[in-house]
Amino acid sequence: MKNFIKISFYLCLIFFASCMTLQKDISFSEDVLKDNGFSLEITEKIVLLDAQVFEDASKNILASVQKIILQIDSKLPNYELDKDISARLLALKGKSFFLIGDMENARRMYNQAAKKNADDVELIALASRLGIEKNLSKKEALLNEPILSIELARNAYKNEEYQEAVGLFDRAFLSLPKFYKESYLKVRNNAWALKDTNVLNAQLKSLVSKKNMTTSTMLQITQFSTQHLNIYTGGKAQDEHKLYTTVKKQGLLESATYQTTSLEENVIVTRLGAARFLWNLFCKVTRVDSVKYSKRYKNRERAKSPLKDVPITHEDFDAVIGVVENEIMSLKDGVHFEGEKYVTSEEFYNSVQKIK
Amino acid sequence: MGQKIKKAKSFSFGKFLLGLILALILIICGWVLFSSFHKKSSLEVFPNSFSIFLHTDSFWESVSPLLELKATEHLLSEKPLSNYRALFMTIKSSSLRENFFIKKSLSRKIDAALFVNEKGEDDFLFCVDMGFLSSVTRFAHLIVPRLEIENLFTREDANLSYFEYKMDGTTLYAKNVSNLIVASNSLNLLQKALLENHSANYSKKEKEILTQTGKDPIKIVADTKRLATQFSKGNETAEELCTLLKDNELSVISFGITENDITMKADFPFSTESSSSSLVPLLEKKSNLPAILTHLGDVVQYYTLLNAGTLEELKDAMFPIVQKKTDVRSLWSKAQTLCKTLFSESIENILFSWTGTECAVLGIEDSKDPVFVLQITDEEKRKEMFDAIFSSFALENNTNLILGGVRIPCLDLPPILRSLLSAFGVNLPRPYYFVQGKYIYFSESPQNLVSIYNAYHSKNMLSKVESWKTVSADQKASSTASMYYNLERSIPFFIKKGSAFSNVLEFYKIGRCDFRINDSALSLQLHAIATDTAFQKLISGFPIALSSSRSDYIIHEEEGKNAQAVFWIENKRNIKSLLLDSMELKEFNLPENGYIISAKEKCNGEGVLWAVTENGGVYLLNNKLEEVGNFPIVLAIKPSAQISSIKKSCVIPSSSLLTIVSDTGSVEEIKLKGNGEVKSSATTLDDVIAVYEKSFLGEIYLLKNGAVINEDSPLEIDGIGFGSPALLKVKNDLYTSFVTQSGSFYLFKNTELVSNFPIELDNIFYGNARASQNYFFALSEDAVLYRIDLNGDVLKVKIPDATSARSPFISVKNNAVYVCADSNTVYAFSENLELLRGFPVAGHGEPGIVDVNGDKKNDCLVLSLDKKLYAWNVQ
Repeated sequence: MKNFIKISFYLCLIFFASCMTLQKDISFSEDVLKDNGFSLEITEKIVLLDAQVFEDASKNILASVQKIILQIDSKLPNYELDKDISARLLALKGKSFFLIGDMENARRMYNQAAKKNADDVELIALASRLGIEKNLSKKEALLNEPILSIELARNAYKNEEYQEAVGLFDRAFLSLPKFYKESYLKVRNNAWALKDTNVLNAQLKSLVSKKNMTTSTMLQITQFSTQHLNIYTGGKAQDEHKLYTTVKKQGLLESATYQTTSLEENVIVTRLGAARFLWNLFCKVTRVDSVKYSKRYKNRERAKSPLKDVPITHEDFDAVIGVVENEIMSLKDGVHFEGEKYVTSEEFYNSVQKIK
Repeated sequence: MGQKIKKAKSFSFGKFLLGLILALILIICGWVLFSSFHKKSSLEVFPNSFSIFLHTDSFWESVSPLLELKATEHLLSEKPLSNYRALFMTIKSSSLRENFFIKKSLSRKIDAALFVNEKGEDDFLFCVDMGFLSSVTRFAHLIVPRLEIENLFTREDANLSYFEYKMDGTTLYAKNVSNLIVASNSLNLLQKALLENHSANYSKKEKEILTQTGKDPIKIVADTKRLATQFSKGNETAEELCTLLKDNELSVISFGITENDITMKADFPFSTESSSSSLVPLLEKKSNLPAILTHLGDVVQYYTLLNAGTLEELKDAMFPIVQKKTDVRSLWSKAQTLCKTLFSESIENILFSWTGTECAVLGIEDSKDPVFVLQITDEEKRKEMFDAIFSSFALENNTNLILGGVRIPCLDLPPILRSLLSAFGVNLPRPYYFVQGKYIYFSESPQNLVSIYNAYHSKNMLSKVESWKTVSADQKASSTASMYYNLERSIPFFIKKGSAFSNVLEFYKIGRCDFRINDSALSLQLHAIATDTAFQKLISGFPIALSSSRSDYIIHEEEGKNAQAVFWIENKRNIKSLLLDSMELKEFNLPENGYIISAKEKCNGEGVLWAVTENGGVYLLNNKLEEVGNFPIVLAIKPSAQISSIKKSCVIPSSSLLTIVSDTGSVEEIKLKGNGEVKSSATTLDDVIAVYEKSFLGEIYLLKNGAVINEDSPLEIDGIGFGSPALLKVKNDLYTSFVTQSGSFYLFKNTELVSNFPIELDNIFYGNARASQNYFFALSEDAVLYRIDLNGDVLKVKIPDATSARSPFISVKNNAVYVCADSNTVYAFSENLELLRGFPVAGHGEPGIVDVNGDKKNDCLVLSLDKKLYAWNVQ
């Protein structure tokens, strides 16, 4: 048996030695080995998909990512001799796997790329996503690499530090190819819109993040973000229905000018509805005459509303003019109020903060 | 007759007076002449036990250029030298630097030396040769006690009378001796210097070295052994080398620094006699030209080259040193056994039988893999050894790769072995190699080898590369060790991170440092150049991290020609001040939310900043944010918008009231008549205030000297708008402009609407116009910047990449327009709407345009949404 193993071993050696003589020349022209913009082209595709998934995690990008992986695989052998390019492509491949949730392969790609060039900036970005690189901020400050600023911006956005996210995105866009901005613009703009909500507590955040705001939600936002309703509630948090009843009783949901109708509890609030409530609240807080505008305009020789879509006879004329002149709400074009449009929770939150 | 006598008398008195003046002049001239010739040599006061001696023929000419260096600025922006930044900035930006008399007075010979005291600490002694000015300084002991200078005392002990000056943590002792002023931080050292004549302690040669003038502005003479020992700590080879350096040997270290390059040259004399050091054989070899230099192509970005001896000689020299820490001999013997088993050859044969004295490591453009080079002295022997290696089963010569037409062999494991090792996670390097002339090159990247091959054959040599030529210009071709480096790619060992020298060298990216042996002296020569002469955008010491991201993003500069500080507010109540000369950050917390504005003119008690809280607390602060005068005071008003300032007063808008508070604390209230309420700050220009009462029937009121000048006929605005009106003065006419949200641009000359106005800009505006000296500027909601002239002609430009400006920032400073749309990017345009150099920069809001680094050029200080304060070099 011992002899058999020995003989087998030597036979194997002879076999493999003979194989060596069968090896053929591998010839490359130098141009084949050059990147020629391939990694940038792949980066552009990945950045686009990355931004799409970041916006909407449920987006199916499997087919697109597989296509990218195939593209990388088709070129990788060409670059095997160039550590820098192959490290970049492996890092991008790892990022692709990461995007479709294949962490095992993403990590495998990371390990392969790290052996070739551990300093590759895409690799550091991948390491951060995989949880391998723990201190990305320090690395970003040290290397001053805008690709890492994008990673930090994404992290800030996830942590709801929207203002910081905008700052980092914009700083990175100054020195990155245009496709970064084009891809992440929606996320960046969303961060811009949300940047003033950074300071909200969890309860307010959930209220402000509601897309359609009902009258009840509007009152809840007011209750939790200001002290203006305390004189009616005694500072004790009331549930939606109770708060609605309390506020309604005080006439804050009725038209200041004609006091005809009251805002209903579960209707989605329009700009007119928001203006009505905000104006009533403003007048209570600042002790201003709530019909001063209708009085003033009616006394003029040629009584004409400055807003084309809110005539002097409108039941919310005072409210609309009042919130605009007092910079509680703003016009889109300076001459139309667009009162039938819905107001978002976030817009309302920003408005109610201006009453002081 | 009486008249004649009077005339004669007056004539003789005039003569007497003239004679007296002449005599005085003669005495003074005589004294000045005496002072100029009655001299003492500085060597008389310098004990010869110094470690470093510095000499400059003109203090002014040596130090003045250093003030302009970016490296100096960088050094002073970090601790511990940041304490001296304020002094540096004051001197750097002072107009006295151009003063002839100041220059002349400071063009003095100065000698300085460092001494190590008994505690092992450094003491310094310096000596200023006052020349003809000593005619004044010789009276110092009479004059100084009469000058009341804080912290300066006259002392006298048994041996010596001297001056003592106390500074932060240090005391300086000084004494004037004939033409010299001698000073030290150690009284003992000063006494030792002055109570003996040290000149006799110097040999003739030493005197020659210390006194001869050189081409460098500053001459440094050092006791080379003492100096080298200080720098070699922790490096065994260098420490061993120091044991061979001669004792008490003075050597001139030549040092030069400009914005473009830095040069250094030093000789370290050594003696190998009666030394048993293993390094002796290497040091006895005179340096010669390493021939590899003529073979290197332009693809080489950095190299380290050793030409000290053969590999065997290097082994013999280094092993005894390395052996102290690692058992290298046992490793060598194991390698010997392995070689004999695998290749049937000794390791000496394999390594030493064919190699020469030159070896190098090269860095190639766009590649991280280094290339190793060995000189071949016997090609036949090399082939023989390689054949011996490849004939074993452990290694094979894989010659399959042809790259760019060049066959590149590879020292490889047989595939079976490689696969086996790989299965166990062991990946051994696969060095490719090729032989070219008398050199063999190894690298893990075959492309590197092809690049070297191609560069050599197309005759694109390193010696033609401009940067290499520059750093090699003063270098002799011969060397024992040579380093050509590019800090973007490699950091040589002598640039230890964190040391002051390395901080300076970081500004000089490409350099060459050679070590040579000649006439029992080891010479070091360094020449490094700053590659990027284009300006560095971010100023040293920035960005500064902010504690909060909540700010109104407006930088308020201290008014005046040379702003000493900038201010901003965080969290609506934390006022911050950055003192520009010392980079010191000050903080003042308001008890509640508030507004700040820089005073237009310096107020009582150095007050430069107004702050008003939301319930009427009014503060006047100096640039260190200390309260001044009778402030704070409390008013019964609630500001309805940002405050503004006029001359030495602060203007506070509240509802339909303007309150003006002067620096003396006097308060004036002006009631406005109109329909609306003031929702924006008042605009001020010289002695005029313009304020907009916001309403769909809006009105602008103009005030002069505290009185409304158009109370009964306010400037009427049809439509509503954001922000404040803009003011512009042309000769004696005052122009007021206002743009409504829907884009109607109003222009009033004095109190009348200019004909053809309002004009329609066909856009929406969430902010208002700002004025330069000639035009008005406004930023629309879709981020278009408009320029409107007094005739109503409009020029516009789209802010690149910006999509909206619903929270616009626009400011005009020095006739440049700074705009920030809804982004973290600030753009600047000329009056003709051309984008200014250096822009855009990262930042948000209204920047401060001030000279941060004392180079007499304005820089851009701006807050950023990612919680930082940036200072950008934009001119």
